[in-house]
This record gives sequence, structure tokens and C-alpha cells, in this order.
Amino acid sequence: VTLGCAIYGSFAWNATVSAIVRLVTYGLICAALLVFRRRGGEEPGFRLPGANAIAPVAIVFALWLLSTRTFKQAWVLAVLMAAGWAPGTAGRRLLAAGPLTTSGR
Amino acid sequence: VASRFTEAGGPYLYVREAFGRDAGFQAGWLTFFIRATSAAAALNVFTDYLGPLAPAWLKATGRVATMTVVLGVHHRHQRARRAPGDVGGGPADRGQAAAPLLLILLGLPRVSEASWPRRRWRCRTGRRASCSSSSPYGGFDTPLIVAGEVRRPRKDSAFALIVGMAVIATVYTLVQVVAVGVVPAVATTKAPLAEAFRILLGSPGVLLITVGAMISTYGLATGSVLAAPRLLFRWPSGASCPPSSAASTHASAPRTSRSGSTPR
Repeated sequence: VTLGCAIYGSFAWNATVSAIVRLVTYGLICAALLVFRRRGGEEPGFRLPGANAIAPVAIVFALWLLSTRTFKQAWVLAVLMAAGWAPGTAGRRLLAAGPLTTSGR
Repeated sequence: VASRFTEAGGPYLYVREAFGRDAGFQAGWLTFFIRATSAAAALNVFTDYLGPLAPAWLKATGRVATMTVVLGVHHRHQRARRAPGDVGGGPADRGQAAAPLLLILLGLPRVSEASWPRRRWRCRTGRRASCSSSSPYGGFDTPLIVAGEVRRPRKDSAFALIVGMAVIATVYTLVQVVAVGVVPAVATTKAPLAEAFRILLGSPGVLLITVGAMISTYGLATGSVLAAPRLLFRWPSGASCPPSSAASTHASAPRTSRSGSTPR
């Protein structure tokens, strides 16, 4: 995959795709933090003060940065998510659903 | 978030635990491509900097051959791994830090106000630059993917991220200051750091930064190529892909999933 991306795209193309996908992932992790805070459970190794305010600000910031990208640059994200949906769904149907780990809860 | 977990997987694991398997798989899938495109970008820089030393390698076949060889070396590095958690680039990691630090030491006293851009900061261009910056600044999440091979991930992840980001932000900002302050019209230069070294040290400086950039991009690609298989290794635990991708070598390196990122 790495070799294919390196041959297909230039430095700028790969860096732009990486940046766009990265911002989406960071936004998801910020949202995950809010979910974990609501759930409570085991105390984490590090507790960020004011996370309930910082996480939404970070999500908005990521979306704000993403809004600078044109469709010409962002289409890869849509293609990747669609491509990821197919094997994810197929894999789930093929495999017997195992229990989720409970670490970190 | 990372300080709540002790297992490998990084963003895949966090999003799966928060939002379920579908969202988790998407996060893992996207993170895998972050690592792949980051390494691909680094490989392009590697061949670009190799160009002045060996112009023939700039041609299409030479580029592909160089990239394949570099990835092959990464694969061998992975196979040679002896201890869990040994996912660094070794000497390449140290080389990564040497070139920017030398540039800062040599360049800071030479920063000239005359080279400083006179244009006013504009929100839209600043935003676009910030978005692009999330790629070079974003590698901080790589160690979280291999958290399962770290001794005390819940305790150390947050400290490592905060200190790491502080160091990286300082170094990158100073490198930017030197590049902008030393190279006139830096925005029109294709290789700003090579130009900065040429101004500071002459021709030997260009050779130095060329080798330094190659070591640096090799180290970056190593981090990406070694982290990505840990992500695939994690997927079977969430019933997201066949268990065969979790097959391990003697050193707990994910053998089958590794093949998805690097050539055999």
C-alpha cells in the first residue's frame, strides 16, 4: 500500500491526503474522549483538566481546518471511507462476533 | 484517551470502544492509510533529495526502484526486530534530529529581517497552511499504535505525547524561522532547507542536508512502516478481520499484517 501511494502520488498529494484523514481521525478521538468521560469507570492514567470544553473546541477546530480543502483534494477521504465500509461489513458478517475487550473502561 | 488503554491499536481501539465496531474499523482503516501515505510522502522526499547525488534515480524507473529498495530495507529491519517495543528507527531516529538541530544552531544567528515576508497574515491562507501542517506535526500518534509493547502505557503515554509535541513544535518552529529568515523568497524555493544550508555552509552544506534529509525521511518512513502492521494486528480482537492477520513472529511482530504494508 505504501509503495503504491508513493508511486501514484507526489509528496504534496500524499501529505495532503495524510493531513485530511488525520484531522478526521483526531476529531473522532476527541469525540471518544467525551464518551469515555460520560461513561466514567476506571480512572485513566492521566486526566486532562477541562477536557469537556477542550474536546468540542478541538473537533470544531479540526472541521474548520478541513473546510479549507477542496473536493479535488478531499475526494480520497470519501473513497477511503467507502472502501473501508465494504470490507468492514463483509468481515463482520463472515466472522463470528467476538466480545469487545473491556480494557480502559 | 491513550492513558485509558494498555493494548496496541491506537485510534482504532479508542473509537471502537467509544462508538462500536463499525466506527472503530473506519478509524483503524483511516489510520492505516495515514501511516501508508505518511511513509509514501517521506519516500518521495527521500528520492527527491537523492536526485542531486544520483540524477539518474530521479527518472521514473529509478524512483520506483529506490522506493522498493528502501521499503525492502524497512521489511528486513522489521524481521530483525528482537524485542517487543523495538519499533524505532535506531540510528535513523538520531539522524532525524541531527539535521534540523544543526540548521537551528547555524541559522538562528544569521536570521535576517530583510528576508522576512512583508505580507500581512490572512486567515484563509493561514488556515490552509495549518491544515497541511497537521501532516508533519501529526506523527505524534504513531507510538500509541504500539502501546501494547510499552511497559506502562497508561502512565507514560500522556507524558510522552506532551513532551514529544513540545519538543517537535519548538524544533519545527525554529526550523521555519531559520528557513524564512535566511532564504530570500523562501516560498518560491523547491527545497528550502537545502537552500538554507547552501547559504550557511556553501556546497558542503547542500551535501550535508541532502544526506540528512535522506536519513530523516528514512527514519520517518521506518516509524510509519513499523507501526502500521500493529494496527492490522489489532483488528481481529474486535472481529474486524480474519485472525490470520494476528499471526506473530518470534518477537511478537505481526507477520501476516506486516505484509500488508511492506513488500515481502
